[in-house]
Amino acid sequence: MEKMNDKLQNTAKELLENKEVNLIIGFTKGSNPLRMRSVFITDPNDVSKLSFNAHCVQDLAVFLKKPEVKKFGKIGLVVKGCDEKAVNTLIQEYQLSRDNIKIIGVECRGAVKQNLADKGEDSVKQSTVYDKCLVCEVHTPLLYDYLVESDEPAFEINGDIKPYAKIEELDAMSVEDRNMFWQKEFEKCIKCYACRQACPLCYCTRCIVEKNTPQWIETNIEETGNAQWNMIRAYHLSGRCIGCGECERACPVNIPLMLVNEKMARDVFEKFGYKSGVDINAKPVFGTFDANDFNEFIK
Amino acid sequence: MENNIVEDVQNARGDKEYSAGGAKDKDKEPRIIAFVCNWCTYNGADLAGTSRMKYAENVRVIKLPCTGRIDPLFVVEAFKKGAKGVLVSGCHPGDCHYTSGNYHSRRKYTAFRDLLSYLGVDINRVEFSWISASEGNKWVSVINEFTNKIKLLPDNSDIFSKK
Amino acid sequence: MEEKYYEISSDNIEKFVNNLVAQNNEVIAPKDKDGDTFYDKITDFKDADLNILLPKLSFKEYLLPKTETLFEYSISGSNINILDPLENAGADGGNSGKKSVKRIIFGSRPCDAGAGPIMEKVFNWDYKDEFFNEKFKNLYIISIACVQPDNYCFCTEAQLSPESSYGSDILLKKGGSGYYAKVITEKGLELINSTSENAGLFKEIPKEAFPADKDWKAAFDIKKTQGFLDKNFTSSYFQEKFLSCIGCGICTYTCPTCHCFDIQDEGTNEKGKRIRNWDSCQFGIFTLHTSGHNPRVTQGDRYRQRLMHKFKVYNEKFNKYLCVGCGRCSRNCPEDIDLREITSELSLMEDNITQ
Repeated sequence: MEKMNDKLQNTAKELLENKEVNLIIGFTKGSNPLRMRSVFITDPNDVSKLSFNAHCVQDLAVFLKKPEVKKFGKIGLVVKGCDEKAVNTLIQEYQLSRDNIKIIGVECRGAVKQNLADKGEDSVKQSTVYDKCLVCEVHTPLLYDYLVESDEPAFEINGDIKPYAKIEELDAMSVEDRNMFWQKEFEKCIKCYACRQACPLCYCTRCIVEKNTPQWIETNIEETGNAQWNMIRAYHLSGRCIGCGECERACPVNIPLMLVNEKMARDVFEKFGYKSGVDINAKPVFGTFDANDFNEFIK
Repeated sequence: MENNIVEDVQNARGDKEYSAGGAKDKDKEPRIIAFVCNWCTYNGADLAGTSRMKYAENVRVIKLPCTGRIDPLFVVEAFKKGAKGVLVSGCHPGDCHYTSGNYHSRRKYTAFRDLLSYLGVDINRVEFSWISASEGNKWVSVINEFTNKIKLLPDNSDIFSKK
Repeated sequence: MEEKYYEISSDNIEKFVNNLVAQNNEVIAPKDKDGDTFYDKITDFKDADLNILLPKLSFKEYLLPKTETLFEYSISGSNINILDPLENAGADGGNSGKKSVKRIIFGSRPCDAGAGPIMEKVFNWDYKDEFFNEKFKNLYIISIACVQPDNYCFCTEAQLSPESSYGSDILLKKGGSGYYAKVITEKGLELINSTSENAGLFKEIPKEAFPADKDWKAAFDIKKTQGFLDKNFTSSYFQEKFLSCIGCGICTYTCPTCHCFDIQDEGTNEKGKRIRNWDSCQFGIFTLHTSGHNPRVTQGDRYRQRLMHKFKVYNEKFNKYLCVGCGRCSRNCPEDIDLREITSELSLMEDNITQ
């Protein structure tokens, strides 16, 4: 870890001193030893605050949409592999110029679930990391300007693990049972919109729920309004969601949002062979088409 | 006096006649909303009409420039307002007046359909078709088949039909 | 009323709660839901999870529902009907509307209990909000004193304490054969004396026999935080500190005292309703004017508003801080913004004016 932090700090220092970036966004120690938080560094002398470990759960790419952050111009961003895919998608969707970002990729060996860390869990194991880490294909970020290698060993995966196992379970259910399942989940929603705010790809300056002429999505925090919101959020992210899981982590009432996001990602891959956030030169899946696309459901 | 004004306005706007659902329509036939493109399906439906072909009267047609303009939110809105079924229909692949609107739409609805089904909406409530301006017959059969299918669906309580 | 003191055994408290359920009261208690604890309706004492420090959300929704119907309308022919919830129970069986069921919160913490009277001030300051008052009147709070607050708790600093009885009708403290009970209000007494069986479960004791509060020491002086806020509206502190805020509003939605709402109309030409929904000052759209101008344009401005409202304005108006120090905003914040840390930091900065 020490070696990693040194390299991270030196890279950041160099970037700031050479005026290649005006701001570094990275991780620093949080409110307790098992929590990390974001830090915004403009002074090269402050880089000692930077550090990285298995509790760096946040996706810092979320800040790229903030007007206050955009003002800084060129930004250096510390990202894990999964978060880096968000940067790629932002570039693909013309929300970010590749010239304006220096990607400091860190090799990540899995992030410990925050709710477990809050109870004192400190070890990276199959049972303590997020589901996304079990299926992770990007322990080393796909695209980076600087890479900080990890000196930690990869965690071991034993036996037949099934991340997001609930998806298959839901697929096998009858439509009524699925309806029951989601109704129960969406009932909990308090419409704080943290799922939207925590998402690096929800960058609309005015979200569809805030448009009221017409009012597409009902504002009530009851069954109907909650279901409509959760459905449209998932739809607007299908084919775009990069699976960082921030929506689910942020949700204060524990709605399993990744079950929807992951299902849609699988569907899009199955139908169109597209994986989001992989290639900055690829066209977004719904920004293009193929004459031979799936047509079976159309009369 | 005031009440009469309200009634007059309603009659003038045809609210009662054309509202997608609501208390008034509950005992009646299921209402089906068809979002169609201006260039093909609408003209196909028109052909069916001018040819004096008869088809289920449950359908209410809403014309848009292109299937590419038919946002899935429209489908959500129709269900919200009490529609029992929604049809989205446009030009055959390759025939789009705007070259590729229907291709884009097809991608969107492939995903949206999967999402609806996954969240527990009976996918039989949403139908898609390609109907050209010359296919008055196809319009009639699509509408009739869809209406019959909708009538057979159980009165379920998915996320749109609550309250 | 004069406070009364009782002793009650663990078995008897279980009987007492089950009796309250049997008497057709709605009993709400911390309850485990898939690994996290939330306030929820219980049908048996065993459903309650009393070992947890704090449920993830407060019981605010029983005073200010997430969505509350103010009135409903329906039009049929030439008749327009207005359904006034002040005369009819809400569609959800009482959670909306004036007619509220008798609701008992069992096992809340002193911080959550303290939120009720703090909110009551604003709901009765100008207009007397019947919707709130009806629910508040029918809400009975039995809280259990905390033994060990965690690192995010700061009730002592927020002028309460882990053993405070402010806002509770009955305060329980662990000890003796089970609990010691302090009955603070007539409502509390009403619960105990609701049946002779219930009254028999409690054994009255003299005041001296009730365990004294520990000497809880505040780690910082909240008045100094207010002092800083008084003088530093334009401080760059806010802009820098809250660069890391993503504006999700979890802090306000999980806060027991945040009470902002948004009034909306929903419906068709035939029927509809006017509702009020929870809202949050952390949303950009909260202050967006029709003209397009937004007086609180950055997240720094918005979080400053939250601090100012809680620790300055509310205190100036009602002589009470709009914060009970439960620490939920810090625990639940996805970006780890810690209110205790901030208020404490500000209290130390009081004297160095930064503007």
